[in-house]
Amino acid sequence: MSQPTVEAASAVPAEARILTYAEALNEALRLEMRRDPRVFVMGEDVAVWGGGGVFGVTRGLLEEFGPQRVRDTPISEEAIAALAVGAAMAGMRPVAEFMYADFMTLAMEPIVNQAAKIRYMFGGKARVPVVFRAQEGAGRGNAAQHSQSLEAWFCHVPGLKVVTPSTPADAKGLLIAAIRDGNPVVFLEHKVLYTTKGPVPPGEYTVPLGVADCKREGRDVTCVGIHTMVHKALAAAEILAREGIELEVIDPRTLVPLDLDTIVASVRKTGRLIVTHEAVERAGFGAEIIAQVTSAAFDALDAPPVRVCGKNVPVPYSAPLEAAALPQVDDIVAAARKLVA
Amino acid sequence: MATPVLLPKLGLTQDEGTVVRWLRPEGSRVTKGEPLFEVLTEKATLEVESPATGVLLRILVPEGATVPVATPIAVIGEPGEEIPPAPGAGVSVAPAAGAASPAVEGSAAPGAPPSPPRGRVRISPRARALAEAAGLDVSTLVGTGPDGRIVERDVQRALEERAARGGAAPAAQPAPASPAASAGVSARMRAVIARRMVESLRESAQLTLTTEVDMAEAARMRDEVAPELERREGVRPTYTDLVIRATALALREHPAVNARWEGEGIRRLEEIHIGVAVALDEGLLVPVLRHADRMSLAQIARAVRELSERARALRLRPEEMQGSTFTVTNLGMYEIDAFTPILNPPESGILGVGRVVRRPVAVGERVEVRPTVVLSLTFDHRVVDGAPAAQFLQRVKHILEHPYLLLLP
Amino acid sequence: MSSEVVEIPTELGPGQLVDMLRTMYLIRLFDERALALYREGAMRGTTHPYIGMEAVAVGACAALRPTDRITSTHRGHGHCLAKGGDPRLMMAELLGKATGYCKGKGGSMHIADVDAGILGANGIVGGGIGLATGAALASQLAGRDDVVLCFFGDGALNQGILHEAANLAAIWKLPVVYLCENNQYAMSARADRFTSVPDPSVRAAAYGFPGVSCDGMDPLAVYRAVREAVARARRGEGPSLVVAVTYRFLGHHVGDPLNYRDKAEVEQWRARDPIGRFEKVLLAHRLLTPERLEAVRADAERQIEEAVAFAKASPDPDPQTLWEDVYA
Repeated sequence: MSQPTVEAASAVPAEARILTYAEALNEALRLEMRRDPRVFVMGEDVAVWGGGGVFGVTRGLLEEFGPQRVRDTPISEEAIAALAVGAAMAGMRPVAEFMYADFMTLAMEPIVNQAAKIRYMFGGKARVPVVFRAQEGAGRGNAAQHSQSLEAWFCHVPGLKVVTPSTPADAKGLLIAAIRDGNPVVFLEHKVLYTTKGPVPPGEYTVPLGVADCKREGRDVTCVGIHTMVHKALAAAEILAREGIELEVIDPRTLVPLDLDTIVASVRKTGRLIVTHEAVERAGFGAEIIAQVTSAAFDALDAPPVRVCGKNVPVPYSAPLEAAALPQVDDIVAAARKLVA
Repeated sequence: MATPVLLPKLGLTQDEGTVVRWLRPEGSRVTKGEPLFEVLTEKATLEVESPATGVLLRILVPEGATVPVATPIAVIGEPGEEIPPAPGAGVSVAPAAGAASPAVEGSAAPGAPPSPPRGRVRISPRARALAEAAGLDVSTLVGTGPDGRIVERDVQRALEERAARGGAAPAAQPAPASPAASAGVSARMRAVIARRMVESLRESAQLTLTTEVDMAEAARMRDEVAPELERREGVRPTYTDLVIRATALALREHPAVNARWEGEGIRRLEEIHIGVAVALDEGLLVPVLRHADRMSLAQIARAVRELSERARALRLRPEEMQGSTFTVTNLGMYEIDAFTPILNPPESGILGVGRVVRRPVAVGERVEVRPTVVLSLTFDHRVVDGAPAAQFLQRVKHILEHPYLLLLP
Repeated sequence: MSSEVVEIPTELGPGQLVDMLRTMYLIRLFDERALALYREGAMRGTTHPYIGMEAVAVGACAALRPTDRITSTHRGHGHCLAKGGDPRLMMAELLGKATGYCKGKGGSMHIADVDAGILGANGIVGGGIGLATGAALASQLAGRDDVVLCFFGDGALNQGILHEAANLAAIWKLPVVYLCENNQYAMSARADRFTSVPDPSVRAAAYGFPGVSCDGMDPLAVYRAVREAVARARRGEGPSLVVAVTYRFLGHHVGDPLNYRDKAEVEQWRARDPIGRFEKVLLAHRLLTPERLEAVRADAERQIEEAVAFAKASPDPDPQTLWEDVYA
């Protein structure tokens, strides 16, 4: 089965350059490493493999910044995370990479028990300015252990911030913001998005954490999406527009802290809410968004909120099964039609 | 298509209003934005603009009638546009206050069987909120949402149909005179006052301190500055104005009095807004001088004059009657010396001003006749203790007895 | 080197030895065929070729009984075949078919046949180490004398889980053999730079159990080393570490840019191709003739072709199966 084509949407002016999501992230790292000598990168195959990084995000960094600041590590996820935390407490700004978000499971102890809690436990006398980068997602036949979307786990840990960019321009600005944030940030990319292209402004800029972006305005149904589902929602919006149904697509961009106001304002307008993510539906972050919106704007709802998410199964290998396990454009279209029926 | 004119919601807690006066007659052409009618809420009469341009085809709610917010009260459109005739001649809309709009008879969707009555109505929150604001009985609605749920469009449809059907043609009735309208006004205002007075006494720990203030110096100062102020600003400061200014200055120095009891503790308020009680025939209104401590004596005099006039005309805006942190009330004009004013909740202090009258007072070993006034401070003992309250009152007295302090910024 | 006389362990009969060669052919042909299928678009995800390492799986599994068990890695086709896995079911799994070992749910990295003692390939480096150790504990508790052979690579040497599992296996004398396939590279990470000791077998001393190194390009060398370790485990004396020094001729996975190692090195290792060497040993010992050897290879080829045909002809899984086997 061919890959669904994904096009990045952006509100950035047309004269900006076109870069891939991976190149945009690369630029962010490069700029921050030039600006701040405390910033360094570490992870598996980030320095040498193919010029830098399995997806090219760290390409060329070794050449420019050298092996002290661009470090390949052994396959030791727990140690990768723990060393990053210690270096951050001692004044550095590490950007630690996990090749797949699935592997972060091996590093949960230093991320959850240490990075997230040190400042709090020490009464605010310590800082952990670390970025944990990883890529999530399915659609390539990588099967159950290499296809997960685990953002909900990290959203559940006080002390962590969780960022999920969907476009190249957002990715660059958010990564720069994350590195500068001074807190432990779980920065989740998506494997299918790495090759997508979009306009990216040159030079330093930040996209502030905690600010959502309305990627398309609409009158009838609010659709909040994460990662690839932003793009699938935009595709669904095109289909629905031909039927006279207007889908408003909101990209939260940061999950923690969440820009609830933007979402609520949209729901007050439309009265109908779809939340869509690739991550498994049960206990996914969509449930959190819906709970918050319902609490804040119950009276504005004309129908119960709907989730269009991954099925509650491990991601299967075989192509037709994998497609059935993940939310698709048609699922969003069907949900919207049902809401306005 | 004809546009319904809905009774607007003009205040946070307002859920009904009385149509006081139609400013244009039925059948006349109106323009969007021009004043169309006056509505009386809990405390004030407000002018409301026409929401559309066209002909005022039908007035559904006559002057003097009280209806819930969002009730359609008129229809604007073009001549010839469909307004289905009233269900029967002789059905009249009660002009007295308190009438709610009639429930829709029969089902909203023609041809659809009425839904069987059930204890729980399946309706979306958005639709329910809209229905309740418009006084629509949800149990009479038929839902077109999933599983027969009533959704927003069902309520909207029902409202449009109700607007189109309307009540009886009010043109057949004589237009009620304004006394009917004001009868509605005063009844509601009294009810509000009654409720608030009892609440105030019940929920706070009130007691009153009095002190006699020698106003000789203040009178002399007032006589000196009054002509100048009148020439410049068109106002002469009254004793009440002086007391307000003194109170504002004293509150600045005694922030404990500019506070309120909130649930489980005392909350001091950063800003000083002083309410000034104005007596009306019907009752009492308390317009607010915002940031009274930043107002000069001249500004206070001017503001009090203007607000009092509008209060008497029932033309205060809702925000002008909210947010006071302390109140000043004067019964001196009725020859009252001292009294025990009731706190204006949620404030913790109210200063009553009696009459300024020449009284014999001891000055050293001699007796002189000097103008004096009694100030009566009621305070909430939950928030302020007796000694601090007394110190505050003492300070007000001191400022008035050294009136040049009133002129300092 | 062809004149070298290699001693063959006496307990390995001619049939067994020829089987070992056949299995090495199967492994090589299987992985070559998998690569071809991948390139033609019939296979998804990626694949991790075992080509060059056949001696390790075959030599090690030759030392096992049928009731012994193994855990495998992401580079696990060789282990599975060496332990008696069915190439048809493996190939069907690679193509995501309903007839695959995992009903199409697992793919290359998750092939398993528990009844046959294959406790699964694993997509997490070191993921099998804890599982193997737990399976060994189960054997001990049940009073069985079967042994668990745990395959892992040089990359997993530095996973914390090895440390924890090795310690437990040592204190409880669990019947587990930790077999490290040191193919010198964990993706681009060179073993000699990323592991703190040049010979990883010495790490066993830290846990108080034996550690040996052997030539991973020689199935008999691997066999001998594993045989000792298995015997020790079966005697109830606890775990051992065997490090087989080997080399993967191809990249880590399909699409590996391979810019981290040089071609000269690869050529050096290719000159020690385990299949070529073993052929020569068997021929030298007259265990088979050149014709017979050719026939054995042709047989292996036929088996693989049959497996591919079987796989291609098999149906995709029924959509309903999406929901099956989430729980037992």
